Amino acid sequence: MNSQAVPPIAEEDLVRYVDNELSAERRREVEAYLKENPEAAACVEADRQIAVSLRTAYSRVKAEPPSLDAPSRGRWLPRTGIAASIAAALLVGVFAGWSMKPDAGQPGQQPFLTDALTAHRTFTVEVAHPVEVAASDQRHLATWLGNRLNHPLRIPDLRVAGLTLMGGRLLPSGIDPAAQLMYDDENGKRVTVYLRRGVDGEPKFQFVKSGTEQAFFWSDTEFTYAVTGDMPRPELLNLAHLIQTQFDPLQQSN
Amino acid sequence: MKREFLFGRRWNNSDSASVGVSSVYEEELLPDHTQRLLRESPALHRYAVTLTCDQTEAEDLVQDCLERALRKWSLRRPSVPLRPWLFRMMRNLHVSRWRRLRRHSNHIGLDDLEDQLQAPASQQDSAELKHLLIRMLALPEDQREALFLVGVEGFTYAEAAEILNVAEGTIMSRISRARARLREAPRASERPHLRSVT
Repeated sequence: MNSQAVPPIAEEDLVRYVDNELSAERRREVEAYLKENPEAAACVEADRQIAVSLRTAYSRVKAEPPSLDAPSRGRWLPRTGIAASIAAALLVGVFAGWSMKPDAGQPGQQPFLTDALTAHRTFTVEVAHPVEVAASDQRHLATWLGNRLNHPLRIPDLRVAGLTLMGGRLLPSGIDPAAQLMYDDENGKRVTVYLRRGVDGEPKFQFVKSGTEQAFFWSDTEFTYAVTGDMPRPELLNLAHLIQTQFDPLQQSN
Repeated sequence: MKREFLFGRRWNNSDSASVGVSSVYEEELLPDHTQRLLRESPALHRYAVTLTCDQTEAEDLVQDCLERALRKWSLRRPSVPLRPWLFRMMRNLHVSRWRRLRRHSNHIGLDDLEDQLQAPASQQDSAELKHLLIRMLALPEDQREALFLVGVEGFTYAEAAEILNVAEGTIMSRISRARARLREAPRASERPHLRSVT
């Protein structure tokens, strides 16, 4: 260790020192330098402190549970800690307690929403004939609705969210028909997905609340969608994500 | 090698023959793939927040990235480390698409975030961390990304350089500038501002 042979310590060395990007030898040289230069040592210490704080700050950033199919993860049902993770992840601010942006969209503003909510209210209370074509005939349902809506469509699988497909129906709606798909959970609570051709909305999710029903609606290049249910908003948003994923035009066959 | 990750190239599903009907859960989407991807989502979310500075957009970006990753899974060589692969993918998505969309979304800007900070903070410590994060997000994007990848996620300079497609020396100098800026402002400040305080 001949100090005269040591190349001068530069700012770059200090930066690399904090990031552990120095050779063992250079590291020792930097450490020796820091002992004699309290100002540089204070900078390094401050940088380290900031790095630790940043990691902590980022660790408090809420992560979204993405809506990919994950059967072995089990069903996303409340009371299993899942509710917490969904709630934590969706729509809360970067930190818990930070509020979210205001909602867009109001009922009645858009005919699409009115139709979707009306259809939801009409058929979710229907006992005898909630759907026109039952889930047992799912293949036919998809083909039939796809033909009538003039575009192939997938029937979203929402089992991962604890929802089973009951079936679907075709509905009049403006010029083009619309489709309604109905799902229920193990308690019989129903959720509907309403869609029709055309881009009435925006790609991002918009939220609307009417009475006890809440809906998220959005558009992709082919359809406008609304998912409606009487459930907490984060759960509903999770469903919207799940549905959007499955309707992704890039995944559609062409 | 990076070319295959570029956003915009459509990944054709092999079941394109089916007429409008297809099971959404295709066999190639094995649960372990999905699980591995889902395990990466917290890190992806952190990166997305760093890129977009917006909670809602970050969530969308993560979602988008994971879906893309799922579709492109078969293109990924097993020897390629997963997280850098995903980070590159996310970054490409952000660059090619997100910046364009940003204009149209009513996203929470940094000013809004700062406004929200005026709300009574229950914990001093927590408030300081928020301020620090906001100041981090207010850094120029190149500095922010470099510092994030190395300082928060623990990538080496070489790995960060690979993700950002720049030289290692560039990573070092960006980090150096970012740290200098973060050091400038008083960390225990009662009144955080996005402008750097000297």
